[in-house]
Amino acid sequence: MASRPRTVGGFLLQLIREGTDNGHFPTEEELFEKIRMSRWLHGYGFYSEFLELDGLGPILEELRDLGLIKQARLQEDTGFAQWEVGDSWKPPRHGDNDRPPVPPGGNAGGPEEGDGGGGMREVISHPLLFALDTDDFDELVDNLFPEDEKNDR
Amino acid sequence: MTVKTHTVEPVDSLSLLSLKVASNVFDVSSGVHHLSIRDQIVRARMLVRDLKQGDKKVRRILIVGAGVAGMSAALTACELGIEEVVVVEAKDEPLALMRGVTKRHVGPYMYEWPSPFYDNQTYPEEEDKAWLGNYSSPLCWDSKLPLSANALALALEDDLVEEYANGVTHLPEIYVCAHRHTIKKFVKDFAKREASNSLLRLQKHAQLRSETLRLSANEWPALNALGKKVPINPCAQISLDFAPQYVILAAGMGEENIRLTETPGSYSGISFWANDDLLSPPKEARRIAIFGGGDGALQDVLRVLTGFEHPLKFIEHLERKQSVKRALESVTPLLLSVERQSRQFSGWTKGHFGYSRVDNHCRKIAARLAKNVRVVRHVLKAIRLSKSTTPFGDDTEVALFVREHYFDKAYLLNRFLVHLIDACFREHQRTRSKKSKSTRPTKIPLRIFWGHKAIGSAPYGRRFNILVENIQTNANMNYEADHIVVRYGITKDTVPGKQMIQVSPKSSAQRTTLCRVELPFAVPSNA
Repeated sequence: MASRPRTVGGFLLQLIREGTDNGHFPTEEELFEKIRMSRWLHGYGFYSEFLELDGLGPILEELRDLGLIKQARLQEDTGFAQWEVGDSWKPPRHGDNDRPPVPPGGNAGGPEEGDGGGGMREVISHPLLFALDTDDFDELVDNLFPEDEKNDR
Repeated sequence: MTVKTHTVEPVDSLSLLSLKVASNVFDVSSGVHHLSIRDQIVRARMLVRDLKQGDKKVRRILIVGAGVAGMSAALTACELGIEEVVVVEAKDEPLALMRGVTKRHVGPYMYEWPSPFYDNQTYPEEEDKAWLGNYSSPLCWDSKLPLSANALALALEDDLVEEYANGVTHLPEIYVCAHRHTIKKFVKDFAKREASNSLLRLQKHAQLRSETLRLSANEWPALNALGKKVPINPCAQISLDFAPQYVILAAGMGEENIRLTETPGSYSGISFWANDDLLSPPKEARRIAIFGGGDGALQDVLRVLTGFEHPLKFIEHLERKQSVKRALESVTPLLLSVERQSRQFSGWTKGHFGYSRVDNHCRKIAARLAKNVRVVRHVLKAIRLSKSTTPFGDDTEVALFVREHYFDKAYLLNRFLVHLIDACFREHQRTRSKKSKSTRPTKIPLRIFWGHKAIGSAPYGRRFNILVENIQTNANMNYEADHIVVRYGITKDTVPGKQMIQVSPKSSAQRTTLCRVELPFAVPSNA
């Protein structure tokens, strides 16, 4: 069972993570509704009446600025923004007794478990880790075949 | 209680992490710290080895550039059973950079002097190197002496053509005369697509189709019915359609800086990999100004002063005299320790601290040897006579302008020999001034201007007038030269080496690189 978050931000993050895992990206309204109906919120002594819809906006923006979530797309019928987990962040999955599970290690157990290359593949295909930033990479590629470029001038 | 166990397979990842430049894209040639021909072979070989180990599903690799590094990567990939290995090259044949270059010499071990195995340039030679054991290389050659770049390129090409002509089963597909802009666009698109796919994979979403390279090019080698290589026919291009899983960039070391100053229209010298006339015997008085403090500059200083094609000939000359050989041998252990410390320290530490230390040691050791009159006499014997227009040869010299107060990144062999010559000249000057002036023909003198940089130049009759600044005092001086050599090396801005070490997409001031770590001499065949 997942541990209970201790802040509204943490709870939002958990809801967005669950949505991303299930392929459903919640809108701000849906998130508000879930928080309002949450037994967890009442159990901690909060009063859902105090949570106005406008109150979620700054929290979501803060989570977005931290790179934890990002806007997935606009909902087709309503035009509301839908949210998913951020590009480079993957929320930790909690194991039994609220303790984080031991990662499988080695190359096995990546997203494509059993291919023998998940761990390393994740790192070498990651857009940021050990990569150049986009401008540097573009410049590097532009400078390939330097002798030929000179002949062009 | 049930205890869960996981099978953990350690993998070698240094090459993958240090050479990664984008999602599933690696660069084995630009921005590298170690760039001898041996380093290029080993680096490429280890990258492919580790890639095969790190991703057991790798089937298709694209290699951009058919130089030594690119061919080494491609042949290793085939050797390891990677099914589709494609090499694309903008020029009309592999190893193009080295072709026609007869004035530069390469040898895989010569810069290991004074290690005991520096004098056999066969690669990867095992007989004399028992410690190498069962090592192999996709590019092999047999030569006791350093070869000209052109001779090595031709030898390697002969081997490759023979393999293609004999129908060796698994060889890379090599495409030459490929449109470089198409390749560049593909590489950028590929990296973007792989980055997106990486995120989608992490989020367990469906991935996008891999980017496909589509271009027209010529297959290499073109063989006639007898299996002989024939020239490429530019009209006989074929279409290539290839969707790689990984891209290895091996098409350029970055842009070589051969402009004397940053000023627009500044004097521009000739490239390191171009034939020059520095080895030609001086027919008339020449003042040669060499700018730079790294291997290129030091090599050229040695070439002009001695006329030797490569520095091993200088060592050979020194060792011909038993007393000088013994003197050199007495400092060899110290030189070796200094070199080891320098290489290892610079592998773990950014900045030039290691170079200044090793330079200081070399200077001291050279000064100590120069106290030996036989050493001085024999070193100066190797220096060419100047063809001076004045009785005392004052008008012919080699001037080396170095920005720092030490030589930059350079092999010990080049660094030490230039310091030794400098020390011997100084000692000779010191002792000569006590005696009457000799009327014997003079040797080409060497003057080193430490902490100086060029800030401008202009033609002055048949010479150049170069404005040089003392960086510490800002004092300027004019230097007249008949010939200018610019060896600033690779422009720093044109190389990568600034890998991100963060997981957030926000910008960060911190970057790192792992590629300074020293490479082994060869890779075991079964590693």
